[in-house]
Amino acid sequence: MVDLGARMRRRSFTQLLSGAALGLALALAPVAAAAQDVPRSETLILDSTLERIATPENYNPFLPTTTLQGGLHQVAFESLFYLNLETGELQPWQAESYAFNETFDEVTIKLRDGVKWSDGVPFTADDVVFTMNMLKDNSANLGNWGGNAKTWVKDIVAVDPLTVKITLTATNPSYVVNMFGARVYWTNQIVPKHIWEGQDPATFTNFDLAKGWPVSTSPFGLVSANNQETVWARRDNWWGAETGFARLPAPKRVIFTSAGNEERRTAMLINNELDTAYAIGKSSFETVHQRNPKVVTWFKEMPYAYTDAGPRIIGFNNAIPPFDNALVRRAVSQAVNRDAIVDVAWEGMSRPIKFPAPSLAALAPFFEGTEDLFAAHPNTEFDPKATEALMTEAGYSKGGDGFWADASGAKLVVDLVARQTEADSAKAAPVVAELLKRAGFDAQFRLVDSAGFADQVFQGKANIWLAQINGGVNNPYPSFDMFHSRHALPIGKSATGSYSRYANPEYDAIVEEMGRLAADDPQFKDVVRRALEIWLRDLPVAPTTDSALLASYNHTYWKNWPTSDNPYFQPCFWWASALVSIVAIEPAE
Amino acid sequence: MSTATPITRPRGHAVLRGLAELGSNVKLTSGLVLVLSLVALAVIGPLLVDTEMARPISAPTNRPPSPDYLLGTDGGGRDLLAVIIASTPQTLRLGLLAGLIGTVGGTFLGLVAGFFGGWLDRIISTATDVVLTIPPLAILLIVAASVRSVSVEMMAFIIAALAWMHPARSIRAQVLSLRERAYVEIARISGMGDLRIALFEVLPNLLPLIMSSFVAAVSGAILAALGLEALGFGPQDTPTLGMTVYWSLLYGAFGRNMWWWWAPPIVILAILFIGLFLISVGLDEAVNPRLRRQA
Amino acid sequence: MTWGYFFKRVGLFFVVVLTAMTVNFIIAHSVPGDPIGGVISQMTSRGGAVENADEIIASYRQRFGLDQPILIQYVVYVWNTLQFDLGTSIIYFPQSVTGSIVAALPWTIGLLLVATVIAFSCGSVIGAMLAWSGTPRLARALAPLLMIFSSIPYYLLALILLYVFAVWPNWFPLGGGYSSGTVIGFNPASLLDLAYHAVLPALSIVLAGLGFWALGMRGAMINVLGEDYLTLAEGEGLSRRRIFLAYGMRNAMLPQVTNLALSLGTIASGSVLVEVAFGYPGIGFLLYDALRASDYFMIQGICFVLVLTVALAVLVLDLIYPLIDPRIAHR
Repeated sequence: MVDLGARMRRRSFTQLLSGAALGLALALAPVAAAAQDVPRSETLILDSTLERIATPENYNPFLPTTTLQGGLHQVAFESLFYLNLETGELQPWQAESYAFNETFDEVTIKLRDGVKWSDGVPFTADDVVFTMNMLKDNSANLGNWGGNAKTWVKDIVAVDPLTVKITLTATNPSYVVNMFGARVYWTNQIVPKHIWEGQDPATFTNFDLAKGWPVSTSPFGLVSANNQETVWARRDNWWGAETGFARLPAPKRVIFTSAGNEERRTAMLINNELDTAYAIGKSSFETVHQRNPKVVTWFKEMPYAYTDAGPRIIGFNNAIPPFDNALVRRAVSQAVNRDAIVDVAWEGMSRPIKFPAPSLAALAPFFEGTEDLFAAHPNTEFDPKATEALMTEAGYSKGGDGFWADASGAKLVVDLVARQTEADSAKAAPVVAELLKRAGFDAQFRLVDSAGFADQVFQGKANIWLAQINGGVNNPYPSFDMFHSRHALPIGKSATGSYSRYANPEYDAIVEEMGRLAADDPQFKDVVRRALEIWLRDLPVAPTTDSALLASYNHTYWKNWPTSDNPYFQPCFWWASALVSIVAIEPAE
Repeated sequence: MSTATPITRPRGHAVLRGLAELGSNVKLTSGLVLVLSLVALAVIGPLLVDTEMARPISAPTNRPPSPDYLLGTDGGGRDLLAVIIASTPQTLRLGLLAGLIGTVGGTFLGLVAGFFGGWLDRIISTATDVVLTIPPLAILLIVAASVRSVSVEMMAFIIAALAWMHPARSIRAQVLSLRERAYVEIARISGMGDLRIALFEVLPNLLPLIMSSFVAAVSGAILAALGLEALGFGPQDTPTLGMTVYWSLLYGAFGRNMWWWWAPPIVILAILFIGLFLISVGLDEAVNPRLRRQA
Repeated sequence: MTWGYFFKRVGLFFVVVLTAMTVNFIIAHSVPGDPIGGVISQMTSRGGAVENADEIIASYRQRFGLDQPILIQYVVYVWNTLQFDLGTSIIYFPQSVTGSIVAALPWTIGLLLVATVIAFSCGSVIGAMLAWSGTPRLARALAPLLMIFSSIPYYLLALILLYVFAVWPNWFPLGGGYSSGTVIGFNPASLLDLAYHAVLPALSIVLAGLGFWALGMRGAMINVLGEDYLTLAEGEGLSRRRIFLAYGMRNAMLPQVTNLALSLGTIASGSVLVEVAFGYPGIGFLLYDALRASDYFMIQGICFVLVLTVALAVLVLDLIYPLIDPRIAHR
């Protein structure tokens, strides 16, 4: 069939095609280049981490639907403080300092003098008071910041134009860092009263390029926005430069673009179309680095990636059988070989964990002296024999088909739900299901999207799933608090926290005690130990691995990226804290 | 309109003559050889290779082809040779099942709508137009939510349920035109029943169209399934060519030069589609002498 | 064609639209998952502690009328849709459904329509040549090659094109609808830039679709070539080329054109992969996102637009068929 003639035809066809393509490319390319006004070397291109910027015309940071990481929470607004995970320091920004009273239920925040909104109006205590009251009054229609304001703010007053006093509803030594410190991913941004007053915060989009909206104190203003990218131009009259607080950022223009998936992310890094990219796999990075050596990551060698704040877990629905039984939870946990997950889902860049808190230097001291507890509860050790023993103890036996069944003969069905949009979950799900099958569980996995995951897990329909715990990074309290029983709403209602619906009054009391203590309180470590002891005994979820997101940084146009050699800040450009490093970045030449 | 020509044509003879020539029909033979080689792979393969190796963490991860793993291994620790052998029959089954249901259903509805017309036609046409705009992904999501896991058969039914419209529409259009032909009129005058006319006069004339519809439907069904699977919706726990593509995309196999991961599915599909194409061409030539090369 | 037929056919158009709207309502509401819970899930997926999830969900359900009985929701939906009020998206709230569609549709129409028409025209010509015995042997050998392109799973085909034309030699952009940082306008530079970005996605659609249009055309041609009147025409000594063009191709185009009109209905579900692979804007991703997040109003809105398009296209075809092919009589 394919004779010589066909082969020749094919060759000439290929030649024709590539010739035509080259011609077309040459004809069109210069035009495209001419259309750009700011040179590439003065443009900083960041990865929005998304397939698409879903709401490019919405700059209301408080709505649950708003896309934050398309530039909104990195450069559209600034934060009062930024938590630096590398130094452990809460870096003041729009604010200058804060001070608690002795009982940690009243905090006074001093604002920085000279901070100005982009329309020239001074940034004052009135803006902070207005924002917090607006959040509190509209909590039902706004996202988590509304709920947080309602939960914690009893009263807020402007003492003078640069001083705010917040009275809390209860003791909370972590209030400032948790709310205004850009801890982990996001922060409670302050909006300008003179723009937002009279607007309905539940529908206000804060978007009007002609009016210069969104008005903010940030060094960057929005120029254009659509599903593909958001473009921000430097505001040369930024308050930070005028007051000498910081130098004017080097990039004249910042673009958040949507690479979407690993294949395009990889290709765009090779072609210098991205200055920093969201997580890719180890081998993908190695390919990129080989073709474009200027692209580096946090570590020069394995494990390459910066440890992310959200460790991974196998979640259990503690409210209903079979996983209301701690023996079954431990049996499942010990049937899973964490090394296989590290290999398949993380390509060796991550490591097994024993408690759902990230392996960060700032957290390690809180767990010192608890080794004996972990030794007494080897929950995360891969041990099929232990699984057999625990299942037998729980009253299960293997049926004729080799699967665990309870006393009545009903098979224990394990349908593992995993979120498809989290690449490591999708990669880990087949591994966990396979390991459980080998251990005698009738296991399957199902990859679902966010709405399906919410439906299955939050509402309590699923009994086992893969997820992450976004707890503490500088203090373990938020991690422990995820398992407080106030999160365990009845099945059918949307649970919060760890979604595990774990409820134990004894544990609650200890966690509440921990919440009232400052992290440097001498009693703090003892409380952690007591909480940990119960947690390890009950094992409400099975910790699996750290999260290692390999983000890459391109030195072709920009330098002074945060790396392990130059660890001045966390290298996470999709977090609300990104502005600090965007301001610090310098031109490569 | 031509009425002066001979009215009934010796269709039966053409079919017989065609059958006699099937053996010497190069295209048909080579097409059959290609498709049968895939069937053979599916039948003989499991005797030579342990298909359990297609399950995750059965092999070391990310190995290029070697004597131990002839097609290498993927990022999930699957032996890709085992994956191909386990998934080829699944994909073939899906395509044939969906193609068959879609073509038979579509042909039947198109024939009925075109030949009988009236309210039947109106109902069928309405249904065709309505079903056409239903996104297959929606149906898949709905089905997936109500079962423990999506099987290859379910996937085939979903694709078929949304793939009969094209055959139905084009067959209907063709029947509308055939219905008014002289030989149909003659058959009608000579007292033949509607059903008999539809089955014995109209249907044979549609065979080439049906055959090419079938080939298109099988390929279309496989590609439609692959499209859904590439996005991660499908029989996630079953090794199929589509899920292989999904995993390779998830791991970025293309960017990391793991050609042994994404290339084999393409080869299998290319063999299948070319085989089906040649069979369809060969059959046409057997049935329709006009197509045979004139010296 | 009579006026009676015309009115009946137009009546049928409205029946189709109303039925499809109902079917779409049922389907949208059967897609599993809780859209508002999904929004909260997105919010918490990267580190936000949500204290009042249940309160937010209740307030949003009320805002979108999802706390109403399903029949009331249906009546409201039909009433609003018939006035072209497609409502507000849940997952992109407060963006309106119409706004999202209007922003995405031009991209899809521009890329998909042009590429599909190219694939359709080339495919039809190739298909016709495959069926015609006068075609040279070499041209026929091209067909299996085309089948190879059509047999590559679309997403991989897109990646191959990206690497062959945009990564190894940096001739074409890696994706997106236009150059980063530029503003789209009606000027030559901007239009060229749009075309430059559309080349690879369009090429991928043409390559993927060519084989199927060719196969369809070939089947239709073979049908026509088996017709009596061609025998008659041959007998009358008309030239073979003339028969091929005037009789064969013309008549075989009927089912082809039907298929083209029908393919409008799958334009959104069909373009998802193009848009995902090339990061190209368009309505496919909108629908994909809406389905994944069970955004009822967005699903219904997009499907309504599709239904209108297909129903109109089919209506027009049915009305002009009798003009093209006088053999089709309408009783």
